[in-house]
Amino acid sequence: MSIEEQLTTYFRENFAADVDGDTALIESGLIDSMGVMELVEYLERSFGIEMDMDDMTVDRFGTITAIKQLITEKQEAM
Amino acid sequence: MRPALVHHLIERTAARLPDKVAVRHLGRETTYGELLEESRRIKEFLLDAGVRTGDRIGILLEKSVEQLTAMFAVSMAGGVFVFINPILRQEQIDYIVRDCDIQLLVTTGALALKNRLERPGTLLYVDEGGFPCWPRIRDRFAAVSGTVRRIPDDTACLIYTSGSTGMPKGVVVPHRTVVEGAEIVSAYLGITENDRIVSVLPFNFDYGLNQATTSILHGATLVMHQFIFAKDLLNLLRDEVITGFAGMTPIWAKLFGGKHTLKAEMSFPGLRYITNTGGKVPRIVVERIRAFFPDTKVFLMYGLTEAFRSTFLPPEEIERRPDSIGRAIPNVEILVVNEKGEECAPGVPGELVHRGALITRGYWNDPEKTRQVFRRNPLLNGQDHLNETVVYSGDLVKKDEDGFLYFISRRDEMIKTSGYRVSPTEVEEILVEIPGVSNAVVFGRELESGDQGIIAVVETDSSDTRHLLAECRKRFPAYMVPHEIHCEPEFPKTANGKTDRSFLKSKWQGGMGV
Repeated sequence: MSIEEQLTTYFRENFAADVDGDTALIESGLIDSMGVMELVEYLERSFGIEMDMDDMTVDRFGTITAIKQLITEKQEAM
Repeated sequence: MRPALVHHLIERTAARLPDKVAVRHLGRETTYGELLEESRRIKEFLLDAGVRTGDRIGILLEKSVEQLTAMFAVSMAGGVFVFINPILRQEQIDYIVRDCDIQLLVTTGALALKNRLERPGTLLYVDEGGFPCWPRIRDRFAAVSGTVRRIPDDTACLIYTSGSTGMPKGVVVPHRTVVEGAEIVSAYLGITENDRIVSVLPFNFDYGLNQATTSILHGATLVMHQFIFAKDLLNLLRDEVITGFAGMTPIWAKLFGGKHTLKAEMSFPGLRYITNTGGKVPRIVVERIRAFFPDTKVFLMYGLTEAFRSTFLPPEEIERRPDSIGRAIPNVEILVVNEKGEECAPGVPGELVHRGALITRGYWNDPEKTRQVFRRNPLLNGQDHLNETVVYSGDLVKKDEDGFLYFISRRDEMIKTSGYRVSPTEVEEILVEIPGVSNAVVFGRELESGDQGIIAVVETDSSDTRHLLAECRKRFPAYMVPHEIHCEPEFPKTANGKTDRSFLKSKWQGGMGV
């Protein structure tokens, strides 16, 4: 599965939401601050990456496209 | 004359500083003049819609300037505003709407749809999501200055507060309390029109509301922000040159307690003060706040909705008394009273009783609970026929020789174990010193022996309870070591952003784990 597919599956299973690459995840209120922390944990576990606070902003988590970009950067830096 | 009613705050400041920016939110600016004009138009709409004096008007909106225009409009129209936090579940929203019989609700299309709002019959949409839709009809209502006559003793708002059990209760707050609360708090925080205050806490929480009223009273700028990530908040503090920031324990936990740390160096030369309220911050967290914001004054505050705001610790005392919740705010006296209704000597635990300014009226629809909390002043020197209502907080505290107060626990939460009385707060305080633990909730559970066990729930990414217990044994006397430890990756929050203690308690009350 591509990163994008994994993420859309995650949102379908955990938030019962059909999202595409550009759906606003945070501004729309789909995920709140608790949901976001769960998402961070999921990403760290599933993609073997480590986030620090500087990575965690609404800009970087706002859409699936943005999250995918973040994961790719993190994996490349490893 | 001093302002006496909630809408006097905007009327006075708009007359003095019409072009000053009152509110900034996601880059959009609203001046004091615009805030007043829009409030007046909505007031005309409310009167036209048949709102009568004393009607409850709900405001169910995300953080936005419309919350404030609606609030002032309701005040001008002689109504009672009721802020409802959109993060509440549908049943909780329905409960509030029914409990205080909300006549008209200001909301958005998305929120009305999400909560399948059927009551009340009358809604006002601030967006294009339904009819009547404010952006389309606003021009029909003139921004005229007339208001419905009210006095400071009349009810300005209901603040729904979640107790340890059951549905939330509506605290009935008079205009006097809101306005005096703004004057008193801004006096000790030294707020002026040069301040830029970030509003993270919701307005359905007394101190969240108080931040908005203090800002508007003095013509400062209120910068609204929805808190999700620590880094966004820190960037905002820096980029918006924020001068005043109010936090609560879960916010500090996210900034300093988790495994995610900040790599970039940041400094906040503009940040004049930080406040905390809504529960004691552990000493180690106070130290981290002070280390991270070395040039900022830190005010630790204590208040309960029933008496709005009660104490603060002056920043110059924080070094000497980092565990204190401070002393009474201006125009308030805090008594420490034993079960016989006598004042406690220094060092002796008793219940915190608030007298003076900012006492609210009681709970909507709940005479019995009102009688328990809103009682006659016990110290009337034999003149018991005199009427003076004070608020019994239900919090156990003690005073030191200099009159500074220390929170011990909720009166009904003290744990009796092995012949000792253990304060959950004290155990929580030490738990968060364990590396990796960002927050802790401790409570007692009846054991079959009749004794109580100490149950600890900690916010941590680890699930190694054996290691946590070993850490506890190093740090606690034997009788204080928790009997059970449970791990949660992230604590749930109440609508006000406080740690949801009662949820965690009921989740782990049954027992499992270690």
